Amino acid sequence: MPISRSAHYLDGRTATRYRVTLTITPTSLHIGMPDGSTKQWPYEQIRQTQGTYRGEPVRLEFGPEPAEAIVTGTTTLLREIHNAAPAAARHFHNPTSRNARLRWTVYAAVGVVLMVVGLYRWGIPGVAAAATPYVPVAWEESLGQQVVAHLAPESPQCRDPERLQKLDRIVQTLTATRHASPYRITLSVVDAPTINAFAAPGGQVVILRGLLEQTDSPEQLAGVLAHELQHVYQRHTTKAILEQTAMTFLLTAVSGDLSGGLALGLEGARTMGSLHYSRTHETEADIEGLRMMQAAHLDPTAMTTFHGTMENRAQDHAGPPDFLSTHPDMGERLARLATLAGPPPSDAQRLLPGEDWKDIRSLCRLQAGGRSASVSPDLP
Amino acid sequence: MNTMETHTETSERAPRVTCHRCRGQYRIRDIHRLTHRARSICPACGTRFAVVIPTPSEQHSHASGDLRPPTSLTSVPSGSAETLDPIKRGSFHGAGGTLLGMQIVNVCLTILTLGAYHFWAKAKIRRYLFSHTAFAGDRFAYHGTGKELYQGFLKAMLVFGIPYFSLGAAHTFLTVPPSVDPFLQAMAGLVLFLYVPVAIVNARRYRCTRTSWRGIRFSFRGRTVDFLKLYFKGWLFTVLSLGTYYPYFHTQRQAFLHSHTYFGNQRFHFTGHGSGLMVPFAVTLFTTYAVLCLCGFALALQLTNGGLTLLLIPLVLGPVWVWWLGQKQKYCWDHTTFGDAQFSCSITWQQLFTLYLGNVALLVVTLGWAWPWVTVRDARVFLGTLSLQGTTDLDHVLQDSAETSVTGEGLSNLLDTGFDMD
Repeated sequence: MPISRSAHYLDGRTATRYRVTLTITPTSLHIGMPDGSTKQWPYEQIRQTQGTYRGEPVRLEFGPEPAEAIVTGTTTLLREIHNAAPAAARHFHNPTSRNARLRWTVYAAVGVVLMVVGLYRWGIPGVAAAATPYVPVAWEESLGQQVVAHLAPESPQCRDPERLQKLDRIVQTLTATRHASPYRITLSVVDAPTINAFAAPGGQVVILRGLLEQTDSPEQLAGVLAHELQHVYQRHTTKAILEQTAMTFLLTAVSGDLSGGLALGLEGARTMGSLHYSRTHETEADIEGLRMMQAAHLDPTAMTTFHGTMENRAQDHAGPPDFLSTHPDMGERLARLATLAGPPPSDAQRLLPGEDWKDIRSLCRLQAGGRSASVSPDLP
Repeated sequence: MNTMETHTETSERAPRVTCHRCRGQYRIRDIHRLTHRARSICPACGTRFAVVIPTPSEQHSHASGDLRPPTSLTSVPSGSAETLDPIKRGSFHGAGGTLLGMQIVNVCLTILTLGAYHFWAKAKIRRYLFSHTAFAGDRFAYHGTGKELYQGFLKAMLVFGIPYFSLGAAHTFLTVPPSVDPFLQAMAGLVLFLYVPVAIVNARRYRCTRTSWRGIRFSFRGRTVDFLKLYFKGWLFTVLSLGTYYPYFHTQRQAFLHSHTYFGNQRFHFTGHGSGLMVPFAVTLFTTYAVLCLCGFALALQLTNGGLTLLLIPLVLGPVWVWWLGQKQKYCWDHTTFGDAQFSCSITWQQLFTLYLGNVALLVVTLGWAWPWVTVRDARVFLGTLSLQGTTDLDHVLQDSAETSVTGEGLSNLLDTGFDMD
């Protein structure tokens, strides 16, 4: 026996809402209009546009746009259609399947967690490593020029040609271990008191006066340079850019529609991610740099000695916790390097034999007394 | 006040009550406990209603908020009954939990499809939000699709994205003379500046045509060029007048957006004027300058602790700016009309302040994962305070099918084709 129930009818031409009586038959929905006329909607031609979620009215549409529609507050209508015409009503939502949907949501949640962790740990670094060889070196060089122009502008550079040439010899000793490298390595010294050095993509290595003056021997400087050169050879900047881009895509996917609300957590995740990748790159530069020292027949312990001196001087300052740092913990780095370096080699060559390292490393000071005193700040 | 009706569909003993506002249905366990003039509240939307016991001759029992005699419930166009009820309210019925579940599935599919599902996910969320938004008891419907959003994205990328990125990054790919680069950067900035108003108008055009209420589509018929003129003039004057022109700019923008919006063949009107917002804006601006100057003096003369002073700025200025936002929103809706009926927004700064404070707390504690609840909270407050007062003859609102289709017709028409990507 056909079941009747009441619903609202919208004709798609006016905003008037009619209360109608629905009769569910095995083939079609009969609509009893207020004026006594009836309409018949075969189930196959009805589209369900609302009523898939809890608290949503069920809306069935019929005909071309602007469509006629039936709206009812409960899902009972859907259940009854499914009961009366199981085959014809397959494209309607079945309210009894809502528990299954909940189960799928849980599976999706587990899947999301697994995929995000997998992409974060392996996917993103893997994609970046695979894509990096396709980035032209010319592009890296152009980017490197901008980076150097920004971080180490021309004016405060120390340009004592004689001493710079000696520093270049250290670089050449290291680069000689890499055959057929597309990079042309250039070294510049910037007159700044900060103890730091950096490598721009494309091959420009910049050391700051502060760091140069803290090195006790040319081998110690070679240790720092080996680390920085590895950033160039391993193309860490390009990888970092690719990783950042991939990370942005992943986080955009995770945040979805309302990224505004998620921005707070997202920015945190993005920063944490880039710091994680940065620490990975630093570790790689340490290890490969040490190998480079070994390949150049230099004493790799000079690398650890210099880092150790820096570490002792920095003891007074409490650094950020490991997971908030761009570099791995110095203690760990030193331990790892010491293990890899092994005992000091007996045949280690000495750099710049017969030269006065103290004189070479003070090239900025000498410049200050000589040609351009104005560019050099007061020295302690 | 809304009405609720009971109809004995299932059995004599367990009649059902339908809330006229949210269409939610509830079972009454014991009909005999209902007494004349008993009052209750709809569990879903909080509408108050009162019980009216009908005379025995009537077939249906009827509950009515304004205690007027029950009307017959046999098949009548309820539009005519609607005109009797002078106040129509908005309400939102979505649940944070469901939204979160949908989002999880969306994220899963988006990752699996390498991001392609993003647009379909967005359409799905919007469909849910619109379907749970009700006005005068009837739900809205969203008709947009992921495919359209994707096409909109491509269109916007073609016209704005590619020029913007290529101008901005030209120096990394090409050797451009240093004198030309600032010019290219300025061009990129201009493209971005142009994008904002074009996106505002076209997103509105798209969303309106994809939104319906009672089967009638909305539409937006303003021209992008007109909005661009308004937008440039507004920003120019706002900057030249050190911000004091802003209320006029804001009301002009609202006037343009509201008065070019149609429901079916009938138009919304905006009657506001910048002078109406001048006082609250002046108060806000003056307080802001005063507080910042005081803090500056205190810091310069080292009267207070620097950190404490900087912390006090959001605490003092936060409520002031929330109050201004509330005033702005209230003014905007209070001056919007549809036919003879007037919109009204009853939002108070306390409501808005509690809402924002709660939202920030929720997002901070959950690192952003509480956004579904934040969305629900926002929608509940904004829609719950919105109402339409006065008689509206909905029977005379007709569908305008010519305006409801938005399709791209080549680049020449691109500015007015309507696209939505955000």
